[in-house]
Amino acid sequence: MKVWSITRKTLLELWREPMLWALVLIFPLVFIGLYDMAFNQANEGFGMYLRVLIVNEDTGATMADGARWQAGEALIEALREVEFEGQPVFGVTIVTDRRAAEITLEEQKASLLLSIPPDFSQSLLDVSLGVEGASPPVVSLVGDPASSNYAFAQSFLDDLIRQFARQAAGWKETVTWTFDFLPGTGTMSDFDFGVPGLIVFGIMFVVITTAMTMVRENVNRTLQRLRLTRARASDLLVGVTLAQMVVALVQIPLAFGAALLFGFQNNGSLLLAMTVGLLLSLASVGMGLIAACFARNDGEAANLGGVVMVVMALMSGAIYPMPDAPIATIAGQTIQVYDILPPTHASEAMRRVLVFGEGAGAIAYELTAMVVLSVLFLVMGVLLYQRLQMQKV
Amino acid sequence: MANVVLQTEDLTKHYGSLTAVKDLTLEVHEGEVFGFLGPNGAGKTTSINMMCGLLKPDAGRVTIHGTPVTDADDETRSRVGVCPQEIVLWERLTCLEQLQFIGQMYGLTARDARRRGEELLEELDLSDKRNKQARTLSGGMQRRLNLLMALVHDPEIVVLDEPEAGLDPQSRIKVREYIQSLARIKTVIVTTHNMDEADRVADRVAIIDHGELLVLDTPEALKRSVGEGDVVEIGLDGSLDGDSGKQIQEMLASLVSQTAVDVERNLLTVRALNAVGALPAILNALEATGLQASEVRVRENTLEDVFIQLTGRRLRE
Repeated sequence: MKVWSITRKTLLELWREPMLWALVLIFPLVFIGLYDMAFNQANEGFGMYLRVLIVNEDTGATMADGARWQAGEALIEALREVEFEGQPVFGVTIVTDRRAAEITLEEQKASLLLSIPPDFSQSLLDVSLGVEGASPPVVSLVGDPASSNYAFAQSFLDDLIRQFARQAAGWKETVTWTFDFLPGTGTMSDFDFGVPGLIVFGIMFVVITTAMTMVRENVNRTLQRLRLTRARASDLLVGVTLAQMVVALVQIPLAFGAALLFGFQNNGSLLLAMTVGLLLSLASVGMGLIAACFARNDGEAANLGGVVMVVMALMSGAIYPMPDAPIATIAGQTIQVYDILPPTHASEAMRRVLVFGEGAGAIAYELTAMVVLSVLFLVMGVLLYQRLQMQKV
Repeated sequence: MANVVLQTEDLTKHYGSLTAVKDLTLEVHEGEVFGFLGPNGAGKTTSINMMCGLLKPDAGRVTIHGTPVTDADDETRSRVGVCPQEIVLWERLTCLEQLQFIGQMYGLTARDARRRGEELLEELDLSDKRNKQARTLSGGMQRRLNLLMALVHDPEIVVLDEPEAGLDPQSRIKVREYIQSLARIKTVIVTTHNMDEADRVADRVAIIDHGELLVLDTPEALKRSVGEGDVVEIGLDGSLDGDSGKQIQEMLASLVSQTAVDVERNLLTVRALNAVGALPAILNALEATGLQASEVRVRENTLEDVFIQLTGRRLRE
């Protein structure tokens, strides 16, 4: 009864605090929007990634009937028409200045430079007619082999150019290739991979709201007033925890919905994602309580909570992957130093659920780790807050 | 014999080398308004914090109906309602929400807490503000609400720490009347550094200074202890010194029972059974010493006089 009253009171206070409300609910949505602008290029096809510069020096060839054949132009047209799921695969740009094209490559504004030689048409024609001494044309591809986009574009082009040449020479295909993508990959953009991490990041705002809520109770002496009543410390802490979990429960579908609006391609269960989020909110309450122990006012609570939240979120790999830092191997499972942080498992679980469409069984390890770590963080926060704040009231 | 509701025995509290409260022993009787009078820093708030269990004493004990407060169960603790000196409210809850919430924390059902909250808001003229958030109320209204927060659970003992501090005149009258109305049905402990407040509302007054209980009695008995009769305060033109002051006191000794000369304030204070009747003779005597009265005030003894007699200082010093 008292717990519910405290939960209700905390939610009312949060709701009537526009700044906190905006922080918890609006900021993650804005963040998703900004992330979309920066990274969501999936709906523009691979063309956004696979920008191909082409120097076409082909002079053409005269066919037996006297007609001119421009095989170079035909190849360029063929490349432009290649599509995947209705979207162009290549972003083709014709260039005339080879040096300028190389500079573009160096600046990583294009994936590779394709050079069509002057004898491209003639060589193809000679080979197709069986002219003695005729050899296939030499097409050059220039790019940065360390670039994944280069490797990707090169593998596509290699096959397509060969196919084009074989058709032009009248040869028949001996092997037919089909390309399929793993579920949740291929058409996924950086945005799609990033959304689960952003949802995790959003939930972690609970660290700040918890820290501010608890510091206010102390600074405004309402904690002292509560101590005069029949309410126990556990009533207060459980009540506040439940309120923050409700905030997380509201926030996850909101952030998820916003991501869908921006084109996020979901493959998993929102319910499972919410379970992951709820577990993370428990840990976040614990972190918020720890931050509240060392803050003397609202501002300090927000700052301290913010630092804890950002450091945890970044180290968890929610925003970008962290380098390997193994500390142990248990039952064949490599334990990274980041694995002691609940957000690490939340990010991994959220990504596997939403991006790769995995179920509860597949993320059992992450769920177990989160339950253990979240309870641990919550207990640490509760004990520390009781010792440092409640006993001195 | 009056029923003892709350009792302190040798209650002591230190903050480092400072002794905030020393060997405080007193009894509060059922249905009385018990005043704690003393200057700021005298140890009043520390005393009541120990009485309601917010602060653990270094020595001594507090009992409510014989049960030590430190071991008190919920039921015993709920017998006390405390209104702190500072305004302690949840800024973004409405008046009614605050009262309902705190009532529930004391174990009332939501419905009972709401009903009780509405009654209390009505009693202190805050009904029309019931749905206003506390942060939007004036200071006086916040103080009234602060007082009501101590009463939601209908406690047997109400502890009010400086309830009139920071109140506008209108709110002060309301609060004072309200405390007096409470006195008929509850035991009220009021701390104050305002002698008028203590005099008007308290049945018994404990004067405390430097953490020690100096005296405890009814206001009338305390005032009588200073001396019978009225007090005439005469502001003097011209400067006084120690010698002229002594000369005046000797000259007036045959006319009145007590005189005091405050050289710094150029003030002559005369206490006599018929001070007004003796006034012409006093003024003539002053003229004979070459002094003129610039202002004459006649008043009754106050608790301030008691405090001055006990400590040699004024309450506000």
